[in-house]
Amino acid sequence: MSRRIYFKAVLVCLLLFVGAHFTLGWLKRNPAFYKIVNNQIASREVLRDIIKAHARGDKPVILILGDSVVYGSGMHAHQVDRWREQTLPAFLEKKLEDYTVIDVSMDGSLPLDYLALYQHARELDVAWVILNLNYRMFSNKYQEGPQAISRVWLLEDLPPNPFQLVYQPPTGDRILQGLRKVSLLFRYSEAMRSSIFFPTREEKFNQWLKTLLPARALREPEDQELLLKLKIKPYYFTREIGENNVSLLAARLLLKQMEREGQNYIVFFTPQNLEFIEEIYNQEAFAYNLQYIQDQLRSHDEPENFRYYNWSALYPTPAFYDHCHLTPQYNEKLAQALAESVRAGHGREDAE
Amino acid sequence: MRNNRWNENLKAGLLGLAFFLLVVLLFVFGQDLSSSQFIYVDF
Repeated sequence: MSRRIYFKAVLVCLLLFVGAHFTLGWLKRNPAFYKIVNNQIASREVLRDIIKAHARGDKPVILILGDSVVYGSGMHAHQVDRWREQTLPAFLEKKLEDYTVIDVSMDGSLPLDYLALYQHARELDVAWVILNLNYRMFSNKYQEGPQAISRVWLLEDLPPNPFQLVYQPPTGDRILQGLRKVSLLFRYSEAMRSSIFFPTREEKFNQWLKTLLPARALREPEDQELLLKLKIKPYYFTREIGENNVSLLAARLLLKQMEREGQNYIVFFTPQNLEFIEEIYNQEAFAYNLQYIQDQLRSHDEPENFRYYNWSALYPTPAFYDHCHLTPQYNEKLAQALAESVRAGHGREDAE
Repeated sequence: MRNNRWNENLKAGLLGLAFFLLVVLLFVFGQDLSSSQFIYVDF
């Protein structure tokens, strides 16, 4: 082949890159675009894009910060069809049509993540911030340095805080950050990668293996529950938490900031499957911690605008896939409760 | 002559497209190279 062919091929390739860049630039303005990547917030740039895309409308905004319960990871793990349409934010959007719901939930989120995420929303006129707290977040596992935040790239958005965490990205990460800024193709390839290999590469390969060769599945279904219980035992078999608990401090900082700024919020403690955790939890510490978290976080000044619901014992066992992830039906119920709370002038203790 | 030119253009187009797809596939299916290096200063 002559040199001319290579020259033309490079030109075609460049044109395709430029074309893809501008197409993505146009697509990312539309909130529906993020369905392609299952709303995976793979980087700070994607987060900014999601917020900007949703903020274009003139309806009042509800911002949802959440972890896997809100993101719908349980439905994904149980291979529910169209699971992203049955998440808590999706149902909430259907129930509150006169609001724009911005879902910035991420698998494994922690209160320190929420604190950083909220800083991005401050430029919008947000009517309500809704966030969930989960028992996992306050366990010892997440109170040590690097474990206290789930996405390191959120560190640079933290407001002044007592944690003194510093993120110093190595050169490789800086190059990737630059690439994400200049190339939308790279930015959204990453989001696509997170979506394809959700929740992890290992899990995904196991799932594919199970589909292709059922007899060779690495994990028998009956082992799944046992493995999960082993995994979550450190979350539930905890001691009584104290005021130095980093997640609790982060949640307090966030709520205090929102109160200072007059930002309405609804915080709910995620329903827990008490039957599932019966064998693995520290019962006394569990009851104590729930009360302690509530005492530390519930606002006494303006309970109408700053609402805290302890919904930890709200639903029966059939509502759950596991220790806390809800089935679509109960996601809808929870969304109904939240929608009523948003609409009503009064907070409510019970969402049944 | 004209056929030859179209052949050449077609080959160049396919080659360019193949390279573009290769890069995109590498982006999507390649390992996540970012580290999660974190400096922890006195909590």
